[in-house]
Amino acid sequence: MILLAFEGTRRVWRRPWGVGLWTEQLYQLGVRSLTLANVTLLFTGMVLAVQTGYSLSAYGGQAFVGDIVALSVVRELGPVLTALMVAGRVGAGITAELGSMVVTEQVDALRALGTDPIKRLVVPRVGALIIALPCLTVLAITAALFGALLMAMFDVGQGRQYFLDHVFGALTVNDVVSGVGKSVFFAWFIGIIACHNGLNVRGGADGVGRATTETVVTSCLAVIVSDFFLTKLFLEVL
Amino acid sequence: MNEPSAAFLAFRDVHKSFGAKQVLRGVSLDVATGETVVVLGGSGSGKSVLLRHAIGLMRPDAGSVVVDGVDIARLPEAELLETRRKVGMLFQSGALFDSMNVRDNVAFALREHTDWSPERISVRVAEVLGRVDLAGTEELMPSDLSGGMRKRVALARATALAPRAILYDEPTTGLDPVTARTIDALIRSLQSGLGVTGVVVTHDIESAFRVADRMAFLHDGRIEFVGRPEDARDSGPPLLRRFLEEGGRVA
Repeated sequence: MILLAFEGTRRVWRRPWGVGLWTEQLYQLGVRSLTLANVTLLFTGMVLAVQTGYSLSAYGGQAFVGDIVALSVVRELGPVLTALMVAGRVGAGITAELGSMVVTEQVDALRALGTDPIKRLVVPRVGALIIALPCLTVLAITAALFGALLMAMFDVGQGRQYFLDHVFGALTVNDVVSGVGKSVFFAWFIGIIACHNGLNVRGGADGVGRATTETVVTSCLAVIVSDFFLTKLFLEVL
Repeated sequence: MNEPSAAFLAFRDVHKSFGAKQVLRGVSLDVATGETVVVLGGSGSGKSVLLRHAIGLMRPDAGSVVVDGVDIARLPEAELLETRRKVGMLFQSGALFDSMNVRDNVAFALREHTDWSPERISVRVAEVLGRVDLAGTEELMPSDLSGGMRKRVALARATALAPRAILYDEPTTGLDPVTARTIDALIRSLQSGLGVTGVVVTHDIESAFRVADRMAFLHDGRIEFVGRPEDARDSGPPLLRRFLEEGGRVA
């Protein structure tokens, strides 16, 4: 997997750039994940606002709903939940697609036609994911804050401007950089794991199924575990 | 490393193992320019493995594979491009790219490795599709094609760059007799019309006799016989003669 990451990184800088392949993957991996990521985070934001409002009401601290929701969504829940959703949808899709190409000899055919499978298949997918996931994360965070705003207004009873003042008052640039920065690393992990498992499928449909499951499990674990270390890193660095 | 070789393709003492299983145990075989050699052998005898060595899809554990004077056995992947432009391969399943239509499949290598204009590529695609009797199928997807059509599109794709040699992995397996004869005729016409060197791996004895200039028999990881088809039938080793007879379709 490390070797694949190294070889892929080397090939990014080689011509041809494959703009069409990158664009296609940005659409497949990014645009088509918009609904999943935004709906997930919209409802997460709503739940978070309701739960926080309920819990803080015992201490008279409902004023801080916006602060708590903003920090938890921007720093943690936004990047992590978006990455987990993408790992399930995109990671599984990449592994299944590449695995099917392996078992039907299409990857060998690429090589036989003088084309480098890493440059053609891995680089556009991982590259597009590294661009798409931070963008998805920003949009999903926005959806979560919108969901939280709705609940703050209609469930907790706060005014729109009051909630937004608390949200933007609590957040710093470092919070946004930390949240979005983590999603770059998550994208890289998901992409490399998915491509590696896909290109190493053995057997037929059975092998593709096993590899796909393994991709979802491994990339979800990679996101969760690396989140801890990345959080510590960003806290130290920023 | 360059080696002088009269043969276009030469396997020299090629060994290949997968774990504890020794598949090739010192295979040596020369294929002269412009001839078609059929490699016969039982299931699992290593025929396809041997074929894959000829284009660098597999590397030998020991021995050398010389293609047009260049030993490709230990060439880095990036340096195999020149060899792969000279040698086309027809895969057993066709291996068409199922996300692309027929036009894009056939034009794939032309777009990757030439600076031809789109018009010139279209002309070439139509020409090679016409040669396999599939003119007008450019917009079809692989899923729209029958098994025989897939093989013919794959053959068109393999010939698009005008290779000097083509490797055929079970070209007629799973096809009806009429389609199999069509594929055999295409193999012969590529050889006689364009002088393309061919290596055919097959179980189909009838097809083997139709296309072979020479036959090689792979058994127990070694080449047990190389010679003319009539010699294989009349004076080949007993195991080969039994293999041919049990093919059941030899006249």
